[in-house]
Amino acid sequence: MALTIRRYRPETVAAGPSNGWRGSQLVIDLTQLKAHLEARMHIRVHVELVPPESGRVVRDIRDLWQVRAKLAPAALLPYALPGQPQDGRGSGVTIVVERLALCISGEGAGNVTPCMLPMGDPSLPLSDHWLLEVAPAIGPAWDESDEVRMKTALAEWMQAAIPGLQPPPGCVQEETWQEPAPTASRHPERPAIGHCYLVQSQGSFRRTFFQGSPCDTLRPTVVSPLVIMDGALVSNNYVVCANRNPTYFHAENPLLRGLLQRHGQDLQMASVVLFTAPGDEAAKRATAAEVAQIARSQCWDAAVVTKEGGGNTTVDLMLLVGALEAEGISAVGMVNESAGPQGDQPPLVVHHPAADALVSTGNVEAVWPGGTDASGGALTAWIAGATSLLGAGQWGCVED
Amino acid sequence: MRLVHYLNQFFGQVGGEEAADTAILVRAGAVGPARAVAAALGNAGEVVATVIAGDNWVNADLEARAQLICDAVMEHSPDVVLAGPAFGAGRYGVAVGEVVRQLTARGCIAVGAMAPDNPARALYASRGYLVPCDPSVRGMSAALSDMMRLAIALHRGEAVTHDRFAYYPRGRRIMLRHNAPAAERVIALAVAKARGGTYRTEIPRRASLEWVAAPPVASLADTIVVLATDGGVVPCGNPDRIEASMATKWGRYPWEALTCLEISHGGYDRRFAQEDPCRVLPWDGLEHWRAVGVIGGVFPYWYTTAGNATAPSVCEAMAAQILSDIEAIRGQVGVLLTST
Repeated sequence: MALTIRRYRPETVAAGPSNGWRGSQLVIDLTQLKAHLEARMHIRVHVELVPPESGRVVRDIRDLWQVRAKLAPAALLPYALPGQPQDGRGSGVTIVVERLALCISGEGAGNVTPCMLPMGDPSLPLSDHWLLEVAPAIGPAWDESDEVRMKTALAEWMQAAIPGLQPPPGCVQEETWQEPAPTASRHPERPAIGHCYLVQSQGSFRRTFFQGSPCDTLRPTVVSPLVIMDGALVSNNYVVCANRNPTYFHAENPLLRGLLQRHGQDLQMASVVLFTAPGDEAAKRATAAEVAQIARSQCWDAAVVTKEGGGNTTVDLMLLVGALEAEGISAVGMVNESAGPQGDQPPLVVHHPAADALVSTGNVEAVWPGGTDASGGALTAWIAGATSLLGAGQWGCVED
Repeated sequence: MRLVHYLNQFFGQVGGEEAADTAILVRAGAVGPARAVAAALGNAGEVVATVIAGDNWVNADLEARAQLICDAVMEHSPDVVLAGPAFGAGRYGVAVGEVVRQLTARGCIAVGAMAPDNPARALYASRGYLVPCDPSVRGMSAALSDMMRLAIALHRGEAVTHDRFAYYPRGRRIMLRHNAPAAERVIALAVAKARGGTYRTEIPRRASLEWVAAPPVASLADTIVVLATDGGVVPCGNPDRIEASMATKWGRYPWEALTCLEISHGGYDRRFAQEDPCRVLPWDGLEHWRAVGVIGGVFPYWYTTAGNATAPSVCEAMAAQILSDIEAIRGQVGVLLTST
């Protein structure tokens, strides 16, 4: 299996009368997008293009999407949404538009710790993008099915609008990713490294979808990294900002890209095991053991364990690290910290003795360095990408 | 840059042990080791004053006299303050630690120095910047250099981390922007660990938090039971605005408010609790126990907060406040705490 990603990289993005290119500038017809969404949803939808240099703090973000389309097989939407066909995902050709992110925003309806993005902050992964903000008029009856319908409508718009764009030659790059071959033999200089990929899925507005199905009761599953890079995971839980992954980083997953880029050089990319966090301790222990056994059966030398969520899933991560080490697999974890606004609280609710190799994605309770909100108050790290749990951000914590 | 240096009687050139009771002295400009600091600063700054106090005099009433020293220091509006180095000297070390602690608490940039085995290190390392140094005075030059580097970096607002500066760990976690994204760092860590090479975690393990459970109540039938939850069950409208995540507030509500409830909690699927709040706040079971005489009674209010990404210190503070609130009633009380 091979997946070709064709990357369109505009120098700038602007709104205009029709979708297309003006030299190296990508032009988006916002009126058409707005009309499409309002026709599909029968509600008012605010659509705006926010440039990075605006310095604006975009608020109430419910999800962030990479702008993409599926060229082949054309029957697929760019993201795996419920009720849509899924066969063929992870192969063929996918178009990705860089420097532009779709931002779905809106107050209420599940939005617990609303995410924000200060545009133009060079320390944040997405703040150098143009943000195509889509804000539906969410009423009190807005529920998860409305959210999914709107995301489907957005995916349909991308699928209709993006393939017809004909970028100038200097604005296109193409990369082809091969499915890593199963690890046959151990190589001390190129260890086989797999990814234990925890997605949190806890019901309405706390849910992650894989191949269009809720992950609430997902059993540990071996998944192709190409399938994930081809939009198989859709987040509907980003309404709890700093502790969750938006759809953008599931698709443009920096950890999977990094492992695949180094495959055959200083490591062998093994497989991905997708799993979710059960609610009780016995089930957590059983899941950890099951994932570790899968990793052993796949001949992994090492595992990178990632998670989303707060203290609850730190327990799952730690149990899994312990189980992997017990199977003789070197385990490293990537984890966010909850060390309090001053950093003087214990950073993790639990820390397994075997967890001796952890990377910090930062303290989700920290006051954002130098940041203030519109009223001059301190910003916390509830900022898109700041403490990215899949490692997109450069921030972390160190001992003082 | 304006710098003030705090020294004891010996390094302040007042005298030895016989002068250890010397009260606070303020000298304009640099005295003793502060001269070396002034020379090293050159045109970049000025030692505006040296504040001197005898070790016995400070330690005889530590907090109050350190406060006087700090007042004297602050009169010179310093940008940074150096204290010591105290080397291995116990009384001087305590004085340096306390002065640095108090100045830091006032928002002043203060850097002290003492040897690793100085007993004051354990008392003060987490409460201000203290630089390690040799136990004897032969380490003076290196200590002053390390203290100045750190103080200047703090004054400039630079990122101060252990890989760039020598200071005793303060036990806090500080945000740092690395050169590489976390994904790159974790892959490098995995490769290093799998190859059996050296590697370093970014989150060292700490001692686990431990709490001791209260002893069981002697007789349930004589006990008034208080129902408390971190499941965020609040009256409709959430009158106390209890945060759904990282809560800092708790509420106390009378049972009459049960007629209309909502859930302020961002960490679990609230539908089940909204359908039947007794799943989180088991009022029905408690009432049944009271009716059949298993418990002596039910406290007239329930307590609630949202236990979701809440810092342990905030939890402890809220628990203390709730306990204080409960203590207003007489008799034997037990608390039934439900969690999600």
